[in-house]
Amino acid sequence: MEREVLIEVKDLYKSFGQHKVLKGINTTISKGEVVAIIGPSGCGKSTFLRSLNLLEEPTSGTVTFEGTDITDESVDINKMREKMGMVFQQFNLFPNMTIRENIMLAPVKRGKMTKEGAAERADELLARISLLDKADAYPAQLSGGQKQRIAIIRALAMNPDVMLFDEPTSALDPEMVGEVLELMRELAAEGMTMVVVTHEMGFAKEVASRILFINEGVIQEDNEPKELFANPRSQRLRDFLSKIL
Amino acid sequence: MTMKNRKRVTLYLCVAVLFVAGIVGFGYYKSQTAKKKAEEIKKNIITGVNDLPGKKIGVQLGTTGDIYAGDYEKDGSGTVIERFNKGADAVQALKVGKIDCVIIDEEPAKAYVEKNEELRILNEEFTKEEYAICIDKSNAALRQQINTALNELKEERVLKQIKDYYTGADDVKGKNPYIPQKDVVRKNGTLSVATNAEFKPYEYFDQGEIVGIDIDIMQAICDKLGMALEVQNMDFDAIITAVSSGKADVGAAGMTVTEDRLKSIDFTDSYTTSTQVIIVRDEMAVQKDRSFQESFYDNFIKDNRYEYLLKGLGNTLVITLFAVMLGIALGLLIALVRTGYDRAGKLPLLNFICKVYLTVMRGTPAVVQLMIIYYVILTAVQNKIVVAIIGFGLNSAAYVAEVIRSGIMSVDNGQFEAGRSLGLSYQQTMKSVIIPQAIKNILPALGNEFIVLIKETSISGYIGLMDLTKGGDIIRSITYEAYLPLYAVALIYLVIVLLLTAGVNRLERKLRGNER
Repeated sequence: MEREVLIEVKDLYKSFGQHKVLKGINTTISKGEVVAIIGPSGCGKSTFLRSLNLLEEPTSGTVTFEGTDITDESVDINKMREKMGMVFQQFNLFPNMTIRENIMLAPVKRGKMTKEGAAERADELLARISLLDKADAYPAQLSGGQKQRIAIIRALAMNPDVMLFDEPTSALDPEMVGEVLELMRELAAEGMTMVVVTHEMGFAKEVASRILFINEGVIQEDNEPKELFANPRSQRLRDFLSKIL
Repeated sequence: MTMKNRKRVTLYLCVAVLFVAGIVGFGYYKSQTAKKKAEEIKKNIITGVNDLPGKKIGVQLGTTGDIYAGDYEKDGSGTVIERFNKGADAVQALKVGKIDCVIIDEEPAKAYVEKNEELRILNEEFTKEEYAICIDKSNAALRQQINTALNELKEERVLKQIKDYYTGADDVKGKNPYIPQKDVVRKNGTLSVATNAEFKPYEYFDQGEIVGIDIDIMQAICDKLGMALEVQNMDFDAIITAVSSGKADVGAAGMTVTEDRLKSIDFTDSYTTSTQVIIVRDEMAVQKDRSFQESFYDNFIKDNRYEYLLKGLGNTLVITLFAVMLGIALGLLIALVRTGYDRAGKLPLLNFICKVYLTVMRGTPAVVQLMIIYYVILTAVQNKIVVAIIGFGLNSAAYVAEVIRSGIMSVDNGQFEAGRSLGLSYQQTMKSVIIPQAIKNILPALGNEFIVLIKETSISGYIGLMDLTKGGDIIRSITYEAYLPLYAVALIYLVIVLLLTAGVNRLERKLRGNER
C-alpha cells in the first residue's frame, strides 16, 4: 500500500564551524510510520531530528513537510512547527506555570483555541494519562516520568501531524521509563506518525515500523526492525548492536 | 518559617543597637578629642588680614571671598583654601577646628556669630564689594527695566526699608516689612529668580519659605514691572549657569560684580554694598554643651523643621519610584535588543546604539549625567522632579539592562527551544516563557538596584532639588549643627533600605515557592 509522504529530506548537511555533523542525509517519512533512529553517540542523530523542525538550521539541503520546503526563508516556520510536536530529553516543562497552563499556553497563544477550549482539552489529555489531579501542580512537584508524559500531551494539545522524540527516556530513572514508553506505544497504535531518537532497543524492535541507523553523519542502514536486528549488513551496525544488546 | 523570622528580627535589632552604639560612642569620642583639639587650634590664631598666609581658610565656593582668598593660595606661603558649597558648612568646619577662619559676607557672618557664641568677627575688614543682580547678556531689555525699577525703589526709599527690616539698628529691625502690592496686574509674565537660600539675611529658609533682602527686593521689582515672582533655590555656583542657560531669568544671591563673572554674564546696577569679613573662633568663649533634648528640639521640632526631612523624604521616594519604573522599562527594551542580537543576530544597528549607551551611562558619574541633563539637555523643563526622574531613570536603565540580560541568559536554552517547537514565535516565547523566569532569577539583583538608586538620589541637591539629604542640609544651615541632622538623614535611609530588603526577600520567597 502506497502511503502519503509527510516529510522528505534531501541532501541534508549540517556543520558547526569546522565540524561536519550531517554529511548528506536523504530519506522520506510517510504518514503513520514510526521511525526509530539509532546510532552511536555523536553520530548526528539528534541533530538530524532537530533539523526536521528547524531547531537546527541545515547548512544545505532541504526538508519538505507536507509539501512545503520549510528551509525556505519565506515560510512561516511557526505555522509549520504547530503541526510538528517535539519532546525533549530534559522535558523542558515551563517551571513557572501550572501543568494545565503548560498545556494551554501554545494553543491559546497561537489562536488555535479559546482559553476555555484549551483548558477543557488540557483536562481531557490529563485524564487520559491519569494525571488530572496534577492539573494545578507545578512541574517541580512531579516525578520525571510524570513530567515527560505531560511534555508529550503538551505537544499533543496542538494536534500535530507528526511527533518528534529526542531521547525521551534517557534522563529518567529506570523505573519510570516504562510509563513513558507505554504512552508512546499507545500513540503509535493510534496511528500517530512518530520519529524517535532512542537507545531503547526493545522499544525500537517492538514498536517501530522502520529503523534508521545513523553513523558518522549518514544513514548507514534503513530497514524493518526484525531484518535490521537479525541481519545487520554493515560491520559498524554489528559492532554497535554487540555493544548495546 | 518562624525560625527565619526570629533570625531576621534579631538581625534588625543588632543593626539598630550598633547604630545607637555608634551615635553614643561617637559622642563620647567627640568630647574626649575636643580638649586635645582646642590646644592644637590655639597655635593657628588669626588676629588680622596679615595673619592669613599659611593658614587654612574656609570660603563658600564661587563667592567673592573665594576669589580674593584664592590669591593667597598662589603666593607660596602654604595657604590652603577649603571651598564649601554653603557658608554654613564652612562655619561648621571652623567650629570643629578643621579650618582656621572663614571669609564671608558681613551680614551672613553676623547671623552666624549671633548663633555661635564661640565664634567672633575680626574688626579688620577683608574687603568691600557691591552686590548686583545677574542677567543673561542677551537680555538687555529686561536689564534696562530692572535698572529703572531699582532706581525708583532707591528714590522711594523702599530699598532702605527692606535692608532696615533685616539688618537695621534695633529700633527699625523687624518693624516694617515690605508687603507685596496686591493691586498690581501681573500681566507681564513670570520673573524666575535663581538664588541660594543659605545666605542669611539676603536669602534663607524661614518656616519652609525662602525669604531675605534679595527676595524682597526682587518682589518689589516684580511689583514695579507687573510680573509674578518665582524663586528657584540652587547651589551658589550653579546660579550663573542657570541664568545663562535660561533656567532662570535673573540671579539674585548677594552676588558681587567681578571681571570673571562679567565674561559670562551681565549685571544690573548695584543695589547694596557689602563687606567681606573674617570669622574666627573666639578663644575667650567657653564652649557650652547643649543637651540632647535641646539639640533635638532645635533641629527638628522648632518651627516644624522636621518638615524639611518629611518633604525631602517624599521627593526622594517619588523620584526613586518613578526612576525605577523608567529604568526597568527602558532596561528591558535594551536587554531584549541585546539578547535578540546575541541569539539571532537581529537589529545590529540598534544593538550597537544600545552598547554605546551602556558604555557611556556606566562609564560616567551619575551626578555629572544629572547636571548635563538639567543644565544642557532638558533646559526647557522647569520641574526638577521630572528632570531627576529622567536622569536617574536613564542611568538606572543601563544597569538594569545588563541585569535583565544576564537573567535572560540564565534561563535554560531548553525552555526557549520548547517554546519555539510548540509553534510560539520568538516574541511570544520571550514574553510568555523566558522573561517571567528571568525576572524571577534577577529579582534580588533588581531589588538591589532599587536600594542603590534610593541612595544615589542623594545627589539631587546638585540641581537644587530638595530631597532627603538636602532637607537635612537645610536644617544644618539653619541650626549650625552637623551631628543630629546628618544622623537623622542616615537613619531614615537605613530604615527605608531595611524595609525594602525585607520586602524583596518576601517577594522572592513567594515567587520561588512554586518551584521548590
